[in-house]
Amino acid sequence: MSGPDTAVPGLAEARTVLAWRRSALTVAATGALTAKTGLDGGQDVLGVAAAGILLVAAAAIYLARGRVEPLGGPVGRRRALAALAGVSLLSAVLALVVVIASS
Amino acid sequence: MTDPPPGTAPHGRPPGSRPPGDVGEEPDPRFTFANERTFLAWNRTALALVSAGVAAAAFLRKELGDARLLVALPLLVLGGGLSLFSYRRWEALERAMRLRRPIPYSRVPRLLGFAIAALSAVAGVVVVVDLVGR
Repeated sequence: MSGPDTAVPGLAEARTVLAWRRSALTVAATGALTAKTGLDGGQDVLGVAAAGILLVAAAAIYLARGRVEPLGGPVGRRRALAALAGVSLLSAVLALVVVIASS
Repeated sequence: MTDPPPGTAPHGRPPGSRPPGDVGEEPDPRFTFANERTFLAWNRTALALVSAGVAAAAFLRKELGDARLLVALPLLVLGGGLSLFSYRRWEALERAMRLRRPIPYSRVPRLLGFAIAALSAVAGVVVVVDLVGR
């Protein structure tokens, strides 16, 4: 016996999940680049620490929003989006610190 | 006592000062998902700018000195600013959809285009000067 068909037409939910996954991979790639910049500039600890933070954030984003699931209501959605915007801002700040310290 | 205007709560806070989930009514799920994907696209653009800034710092020669930072730092600042914009934009669109209002206009796409063109020009000059000076 199956429940009511609640799928959104046009595979909107699946496309949104894929967009979240791409975002998580972009955060991970930014972390890897930050690590390379730190290592090349002699700031090993700083570069690896910044990359570690960003890779953990990328994994959290991937696991939290990378699967088809109910939206969790407007509050849950708003928190998830605010968290991702915060991670992006954090990546910019960490990258600034690493680039300036490596110069 | 009169009823509050549509889209405002009885406690009187205007819709613009409350979280978007507290105003109006839930829009069509397709629009909700489309707005979320638009936020994600803006956010990835912000992350791409940060990555470009880090790549400029990593791959331009150290001998370029301040010219290297002239390319890298504006990209990082622009990326950070755009990540904030992405969330504000999502909030504004969500609020407009829930209140059945027109989508607000934004000048940021145009400004971003000009900024990227200007930074590309600066990066091009730095690379040419570096090649000529070798």
